[in-house]
Amino acid sequence: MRRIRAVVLKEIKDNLRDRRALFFALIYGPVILPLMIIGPMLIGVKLNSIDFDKVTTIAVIGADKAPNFIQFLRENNIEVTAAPDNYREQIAENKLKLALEIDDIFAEQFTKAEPALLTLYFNGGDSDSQNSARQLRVIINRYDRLIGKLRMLARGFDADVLDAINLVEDDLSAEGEFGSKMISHMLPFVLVFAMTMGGFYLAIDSIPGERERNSLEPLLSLPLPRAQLLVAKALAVLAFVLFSGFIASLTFFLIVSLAPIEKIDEIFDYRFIEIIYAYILAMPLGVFMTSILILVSIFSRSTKEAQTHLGIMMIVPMMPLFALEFLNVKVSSLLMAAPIVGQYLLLGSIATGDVLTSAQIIVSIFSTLMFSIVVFLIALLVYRRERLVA
Amino acid sequence: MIKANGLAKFYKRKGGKKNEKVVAVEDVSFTAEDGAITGLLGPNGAGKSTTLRMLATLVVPDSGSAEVDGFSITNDAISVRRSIGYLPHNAGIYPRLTAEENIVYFAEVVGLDKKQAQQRAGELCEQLEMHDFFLRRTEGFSQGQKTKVALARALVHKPRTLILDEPTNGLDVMAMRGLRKIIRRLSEEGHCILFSSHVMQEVAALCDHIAIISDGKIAISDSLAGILSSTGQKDLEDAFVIAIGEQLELE
Repeated sequence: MRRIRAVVLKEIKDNLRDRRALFFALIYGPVILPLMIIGPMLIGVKLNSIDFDKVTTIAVIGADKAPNFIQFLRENNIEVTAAPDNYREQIAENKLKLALEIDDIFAEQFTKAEPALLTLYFNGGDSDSQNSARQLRVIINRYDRLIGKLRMLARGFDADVLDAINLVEDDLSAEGEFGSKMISHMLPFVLVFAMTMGGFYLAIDSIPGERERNSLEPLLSLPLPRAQLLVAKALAVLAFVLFSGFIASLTFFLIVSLAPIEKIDEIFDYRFIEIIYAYILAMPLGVFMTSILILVSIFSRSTKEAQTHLGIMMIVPMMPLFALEFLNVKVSSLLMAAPIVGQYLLLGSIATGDVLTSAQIIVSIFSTLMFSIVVFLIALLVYRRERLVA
Repeated sequence: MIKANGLAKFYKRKGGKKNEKVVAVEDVSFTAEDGAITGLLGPNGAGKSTTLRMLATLVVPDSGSAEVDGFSITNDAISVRRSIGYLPHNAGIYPRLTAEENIVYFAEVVGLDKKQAQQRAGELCEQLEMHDFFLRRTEGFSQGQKTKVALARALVHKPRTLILDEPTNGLDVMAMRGLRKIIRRLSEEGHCILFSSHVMQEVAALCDHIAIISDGKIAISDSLAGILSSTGQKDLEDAFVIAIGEQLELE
């Protein structure tokens, strides 16, 4: 045990002194990459979300022609200002979000119970303008239905007769908002990627790197069985993998909780404990990634070759993740038992809010760990071949 | 003490026909005694490194056998490794560790605890005169300094037998003389020292016993005087040419 510990500590110390490796393991993978992926998505969430409680100001042409309607807008948090003369140009140039024109004959049509004319000017190429238009449309539809019902009632009809169907839409996924859902779904990817980056350079440096700088032969001539040596190296890689994953969890938590976006905590109700839970669920994947890193490193004859191989191999274990995202697979116990795939589903369940049984969780973790051990055993067999030094 | 008996090793030829083999070592038998320096002398590609790798249990011979301090290299590799210090062709030290850390690491891997390992590294620093660079990271060390660190690492577990693969390669004159002095002293302390070289003068100056290897076979194995008399030559270079079966140039 003491010898294994000596190798583990040496590999960690060696890697900590390698600035490039450290940058990738502790900064690029777990901090910069999550920021680059989630940052733009957060901005997207902000652009697409409508806050009906916030008072919004819109420009109206002919506000005096429909005082009741304007009053209704005010009650729905819409503040009205007079539109400038060149409002069409201003909207086209993105200087004005949108304008609502109340036609001259609006009052007349309204009194006659004819459809009264309103014109909404907006800029379809600008998401701000689109959002405001969407918000206004919802409020106007509400007014439309309200007035319609009142008119029916005044004529002695039950207004409900007109509603053949009462469709209630209820999005049962936890958040409802597409963008925020995407961000939640990115959590497994962010964790797994950061973990892989964490062990990437140490695996390369301590296996083909050791051979390349000719330190492998003297090391193997010591009375330490090769299996123990490889176990020690794998443990050192695992330490970095798990540490990078932890930093990535922190980054993810800080991004979604500190982002300067209003109501962000309503969209993401992540508590720190949930992120830590996700991290713990990702740990078996960390073990798996470590096995893959070690195996591929052993097959590579030089560090350059290892970088090429790993660059490709890194994507392979993430394929199920993308497949699951796009195929919208239904979670079943059988699927949960599939190594790696089940683990991704577990992580995904945090995003979707699905509740999994503890049996499913245990089976998934167990199968992933078993699969990792098989991969590692193959690595051990290869490491014991003498081609390693010859 | 090393006894090699008919060692042979073949490699598969890369890119060639299947089952076509390259002979690395065909028939190597010799003995290296304790308290003596034995030189394995041969041209490049003669099989020196392969022989030493087999003795260091890094590769397994395809046929033949060898014993190091009474342990078989094929059946008891771990005991052999406890008994040998192996210095491979290139120093192969860790550039991001200091000289001391390099030595302490190996000491810990062979089973010493941290304190013992540091103490042992201190002794070796003394013994190999490494004070000037002991606490520096080895990146940018001269070849001589690297070789000293690597030799210290090989000596960390006080092995009885030392296997050195071309240790003087790339050293300047002073570093080479320093290393020879160290090798002589280790031999006087009773170590069995086997080292390979293709430099005649060095082998002639240093070795008590010489095994000449050519094309994977030991051509002759004797003391310097014995080799000179059995080939009827005055210097080792001529004796070497005769021994490997070539004609001397006529002047």
